[in-house]
Amino acid sequence: MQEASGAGAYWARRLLGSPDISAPVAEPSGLGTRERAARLLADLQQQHAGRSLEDVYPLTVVDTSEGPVSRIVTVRDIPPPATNPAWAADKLQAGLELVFGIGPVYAERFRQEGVGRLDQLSSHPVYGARAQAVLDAIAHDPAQASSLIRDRLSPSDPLLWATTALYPPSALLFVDIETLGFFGVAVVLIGVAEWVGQALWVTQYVARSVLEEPQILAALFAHMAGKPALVSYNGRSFDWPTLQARAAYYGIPLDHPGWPHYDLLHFARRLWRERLPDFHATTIEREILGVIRPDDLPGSFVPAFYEQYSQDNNVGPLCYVIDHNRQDMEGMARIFARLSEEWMPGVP
Amino acid sequence: MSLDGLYRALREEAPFADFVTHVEDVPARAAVAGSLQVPLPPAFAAFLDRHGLTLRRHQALSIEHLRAGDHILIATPTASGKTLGFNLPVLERLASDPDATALYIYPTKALAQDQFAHLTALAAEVGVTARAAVYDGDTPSGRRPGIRETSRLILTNFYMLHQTLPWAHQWERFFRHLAFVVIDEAHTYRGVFGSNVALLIRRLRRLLALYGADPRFVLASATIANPEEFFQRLTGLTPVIVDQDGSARGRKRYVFYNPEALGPNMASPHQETARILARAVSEDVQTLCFAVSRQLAELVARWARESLPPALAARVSPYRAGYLPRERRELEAGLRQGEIRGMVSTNALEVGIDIGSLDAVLMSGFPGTMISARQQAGRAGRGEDESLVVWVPFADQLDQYLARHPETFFGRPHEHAIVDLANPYILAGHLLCAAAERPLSVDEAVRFFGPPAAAHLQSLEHQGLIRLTSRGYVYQSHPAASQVVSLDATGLQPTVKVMTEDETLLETMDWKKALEEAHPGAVLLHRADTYVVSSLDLDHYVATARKQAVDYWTDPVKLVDIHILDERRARDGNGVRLAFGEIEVTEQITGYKTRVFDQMVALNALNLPSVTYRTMGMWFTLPEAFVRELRLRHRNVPGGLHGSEHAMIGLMPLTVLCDRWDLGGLSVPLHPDTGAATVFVHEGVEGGIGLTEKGFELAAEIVRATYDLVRTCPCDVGCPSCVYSPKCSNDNLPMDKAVAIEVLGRFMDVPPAP
Repeated sequence: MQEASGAGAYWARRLLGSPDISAPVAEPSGLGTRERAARLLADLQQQHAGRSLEDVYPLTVVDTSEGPVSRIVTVRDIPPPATNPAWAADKLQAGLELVFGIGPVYAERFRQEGVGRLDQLSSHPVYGARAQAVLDAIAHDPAQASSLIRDRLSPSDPLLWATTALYPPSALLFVDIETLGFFGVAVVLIGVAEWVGQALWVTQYVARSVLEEPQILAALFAHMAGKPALVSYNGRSFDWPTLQARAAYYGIPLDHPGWPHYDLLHFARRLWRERLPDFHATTIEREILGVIRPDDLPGSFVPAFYEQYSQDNNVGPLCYVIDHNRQDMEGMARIFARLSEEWMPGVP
Repeated sequence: MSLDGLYRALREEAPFADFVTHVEDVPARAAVAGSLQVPLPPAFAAFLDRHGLTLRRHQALSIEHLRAGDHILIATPTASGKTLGFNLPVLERLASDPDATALYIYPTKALAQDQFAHLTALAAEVGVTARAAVYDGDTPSGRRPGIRETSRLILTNFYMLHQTLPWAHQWERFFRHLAFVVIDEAHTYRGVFGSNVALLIRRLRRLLALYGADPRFVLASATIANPEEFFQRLTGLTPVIVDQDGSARGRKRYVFYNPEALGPNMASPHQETARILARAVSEDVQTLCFAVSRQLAELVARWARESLPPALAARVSPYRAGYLPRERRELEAGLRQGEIRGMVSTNALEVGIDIGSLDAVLMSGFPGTMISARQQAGRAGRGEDESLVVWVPFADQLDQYLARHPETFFGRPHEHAIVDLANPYILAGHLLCAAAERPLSVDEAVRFFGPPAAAHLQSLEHQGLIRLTSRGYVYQSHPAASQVVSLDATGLQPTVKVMTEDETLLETMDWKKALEEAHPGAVLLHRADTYVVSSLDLDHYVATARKQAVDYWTDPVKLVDIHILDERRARDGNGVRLAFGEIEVTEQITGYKTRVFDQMVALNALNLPSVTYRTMGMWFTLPEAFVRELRLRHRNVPGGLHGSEHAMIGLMPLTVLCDRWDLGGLSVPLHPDTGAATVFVHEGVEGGIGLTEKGFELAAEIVRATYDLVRTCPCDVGCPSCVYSPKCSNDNLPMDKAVAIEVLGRFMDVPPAP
């Protein structure tokens, strides 16, 4: 037993001394960031000394299949973009390339012959039936239409963006998670946001210890059940694979991988490639939307802040993580609205 | 070509003949065919016919055992066709079960690439849609999902597997249908790496069990003394051993050419090697010479060239891993095509690289293990042609023992490959990884990782790294466990970086080694350049070294202290006691010696912190009466203990597969913990890797060999072939060979393990 405890202490030391080498470094030089984080941490701890999470946020406890979980709901005055379904349908009608067997060359030939819309193709002897299938998807099954576009064209194609207009804004669910690192570690906070009328409702599920991770996962999956489409920023590479991995880890069923998932990073890159030095969401907020966050630290500080909170139970650093996540959600909704303005002209 | 001419020259001509101490003639052997109860499917039979192949005994046995659902370990010599023996039944299964998958694991990426080409061609010829793919660090991330989703035969390495298991859910299809895990070159998984791999395999098996898969394990290995035990330790499963080699073999003659034959230091083994190589080339015998270091490879090639006429000298070349890839390819082709008649290589050409076979192999020094020696000797002999192997032993314990005991060289295997599951640091690390892959229950942990796992889980929980939930232990730390647990960690953190003055990284070493080799003033050798360490920053773990051509080198002066923590096992006979257990070693570097050649020119003091670590050790204690009697005769007791310690450590690798530098020693006329004259042999790795535990079991064998070696050594007062150690920080003082023989004689009173 003596020897065993030696080994435990050994790995505790090793983990403590190991930076998360695979975590993305948000600021190139990091000059001063560490000092800023330390000062911020001290301020937060001082501000929140003796306070509970309930003192800071309107907190409710909801039940999930995995047990109770803490939820914070915030309503923000961030309106959805005006959508133009007619324009979107028109735009999608022009997507001859969505028909299996028609590549850019054939599509161009059809267009030169005056066949520029899918419905014109629906009686074609070879492509007719396939064109009709695409039309049906556009009309009745936007999820299938978007997966068709992603596979046949690209995950940043403006046609894919047009499919967002096939959903009412209230059907979209924005998702952003906070974790203790890049992979193989716990998710400690899950934020979702949705439009209710002209307001953005941000719901955050908070794991008050790492042990509550199954609850926040279950809460998210229940929340997703009523929503047909997901929106994220870099979520196709990070948030979603992480959620799948964590669900698999706990054996919590997550059996609908076919949700359309709009990853704003891809569209932002396509649209602002020439204008921005990098594609951190905060860069877009600052350079395109003119939103500057006070006291913002890169996401890579989340593990250390959460760890600090776990150690001494002062909720200050956890509050910072919660606020940071909510700002991410708000930023994402604004970026979404802005992309719609850019790509859906002629909104009445 | 005249193989006989060379052989006769060695046996009959002066001065060659004086040094030949043994010849062994291994006659040719015909192939032994094998047969199957149920024939292979027609496409498989057609493949064999097309290539003029017939199944040999060991291949047929492999097929039958895998068909019967056994785990197998195949241990037949290089070039006996063992790969075909498992590839055929694996593909047969993939043909009959369209969902079945197989995982092949290789020690290097190069070997995986090489076998990928073979397997792809074989699968195509026998008509199996395997979609074989290499999945390693070089596989582009865009290709990975496709491989995971569709491939039925994946080739990888253990480093990749370690990083892959946290993502097991993405491998569900492949894992759920996994029928075979093939581990090639399995004997390479020993020592620290082997312990890590064994625990990684348990992580894999535990995840596979969750997916309902229970694949057969196929290990291909060199010949070792303990194949069953090795297989069990590495995988946790029980194998059938297939070692009845049925391949054909040409006649092979061995010549032991011992430069020590006429007495210590009468001839240089390197110059003798060069002389034999030159003679072989003049006899038109194409020869591959293995040297133990890069420098020696260059040197032997140069000396051989100097004694040959220009036309022949141009056809002798050195070869080593440091050459550019293009140069290496040219040299390999030159050897294959016969342009090059003599090549001097490091062990880089021992396995894996296609250079064809040669007429003769010349081994300069013992390559450390019989496994390597057999692989090197196996490079001689085309098909069933006759071949010659000449071995030139060096003046150290292992070489000289084997030179004087050819029956050990040619007899049954005596090297035990050690895989240790008990190192607490390594075990706890993999338990962390397992808990991060899926919540880990105590039952599961004990079932796959052994009973000590339970206590380790508690200790990890106590440190707040994992927490017990209704699902089992859950990893709750960060970063990812597999990112912190390294498969070749040697313990003793932190790691010290050795930097040049312009901030280039020369190498990294663990803390203990850094204090020994990178202290201020130390001379470091890096790629044949010498560097002098100017500072060692103890707070930031950085040593700075300056490139400087110097004609001296340095040796640390080390004080070692051992404290026995826990005696686990012991046995005694006639008052002599041998024990095994956990010890605490404290090492203090007090200074260093500056040497020019073998001459000490300066002794420099250092002020460095000491290092204390826990590891495993074995120790002999002698009865007081024996020591008193030696003293009454005015014999040098400390010198005798010291000599027995050196000789025993030097010979340990004969039975326990390891490097002598993996072990340390201490001998004292009176140790406070035992109250007696004590000789310790201990491990250098924190927590131990099973070397001394095996040494404890095989002590009778080790002591007998050591006693024989020292007693029959022709030197007078001790030499590097018996009681001297080249790295002894006390300059082999005190030393008394005669008393060492008496001490070793008493050690033989300890009975063999029951």
